Amino acid sequence: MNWTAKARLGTAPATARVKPGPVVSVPPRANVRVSNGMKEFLWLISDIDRGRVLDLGPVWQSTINFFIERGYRISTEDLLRAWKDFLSTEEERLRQAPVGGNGSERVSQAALADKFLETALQYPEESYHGVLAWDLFDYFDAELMTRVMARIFKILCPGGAVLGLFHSRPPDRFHRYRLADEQSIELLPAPTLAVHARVFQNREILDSFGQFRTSKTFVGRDQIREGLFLK
Amino acid sequence: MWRKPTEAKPSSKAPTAPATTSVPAKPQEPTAVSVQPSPPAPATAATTSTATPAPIVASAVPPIAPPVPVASAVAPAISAGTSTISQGLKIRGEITGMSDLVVEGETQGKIRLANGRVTVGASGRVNADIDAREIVINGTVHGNLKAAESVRLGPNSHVEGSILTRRIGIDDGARLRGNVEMTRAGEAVTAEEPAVAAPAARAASASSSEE
Repeated sequence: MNWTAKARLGTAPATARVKPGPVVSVPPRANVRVSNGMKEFLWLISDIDRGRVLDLGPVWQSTINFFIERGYRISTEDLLRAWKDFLSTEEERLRQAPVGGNGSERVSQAALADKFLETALQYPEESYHGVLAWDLFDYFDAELMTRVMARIFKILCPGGAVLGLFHSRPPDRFHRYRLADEQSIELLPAPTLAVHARVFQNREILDSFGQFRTSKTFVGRDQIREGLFLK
Repeated sequence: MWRKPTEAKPSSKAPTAPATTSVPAKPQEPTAVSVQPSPPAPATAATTSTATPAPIVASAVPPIAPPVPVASAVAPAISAGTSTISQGLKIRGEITGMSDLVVEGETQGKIRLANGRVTVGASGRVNADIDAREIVINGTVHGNLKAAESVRLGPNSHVEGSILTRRIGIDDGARLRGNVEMTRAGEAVTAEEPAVAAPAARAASASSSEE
């Protein structure tokens, strides 16, 4: 795998880098996981002056603070919640549509996905340097997932990175995620917004992100794989 | 090959300077839509209750740097009084002036209270850009928020639009779709660019064009 997108010249000696410093501020807790993918993601976007980051999860003060304090501009769009709201609206619309009239037609997953993306993820092309997708893709059907990936690819700047989480087995419960520090993600149990749709094999993940230049997967002990994809 | 840099990014970018500047009072502009000023005492009480400084993040994990205490945003504001758009009331147009404003009804258009505080209550629905000294959201806003001092998003808030301010407080449960950009002390609160289209702005303009 070729991961040469960013020159690593001129950095401090390796011995200095691996030395643990006192910067880790998060005490070990059951719902905090070390995230090598996040660490790498941050490293990849670290050179960009006033870089733009899109967080596709819910808005959290800590995540906002984290990026703002480092000079990034951050946008949030809770895509999973938006999808759920969209489906609820569509369901209601179909329920109220007269039988045989417009709107009572059968709706395909592809049509739903297209309609959803008419209002969601609407950003100019190449406008973000990093996208935090969390475990979005596991919860989308194939049609929507493909389209969301394509949209994310479009809105990423060349060299931009996407961080996504993938479960190796169906999760016991639904979580939302927020950034705790440079290398830790906090898992917050939350009411189920969506049903876990599928477990991806590594090959499927790599194939799905085939249009990205490079990719890398980090496997955690909690059976969550972190996929980092570089445009 | 996979060595990670340990050097931290320069902290000079951190817009965490203490909030000391005050927005100079502008001469009172003509109010396009007159709202009935309510007696100060109850209105202030209501505002205070909605903007009670809640824990910014209910988390045991300390953030990287302590969030700027937006609680100070609820300090009594110097203004001519507080006006209230009550529940069930709908207003379309531009709202300007010097007083504080509490929105429990619906507004559409633009809200500009350069030296005041705008509070959107739990039942408030705003389809407008808001420009104020302090903004507290507990309801729904489709529009961009620009605050000279602070913005607070309550746990039931739903905002679709960009936020430009010096300090921000976000309660768990808040919903935001849009950009967050911070200004530093002494910096004019001017939107740098909406390079990333604010979906809310579009939504707001779309809904206003519908009517």
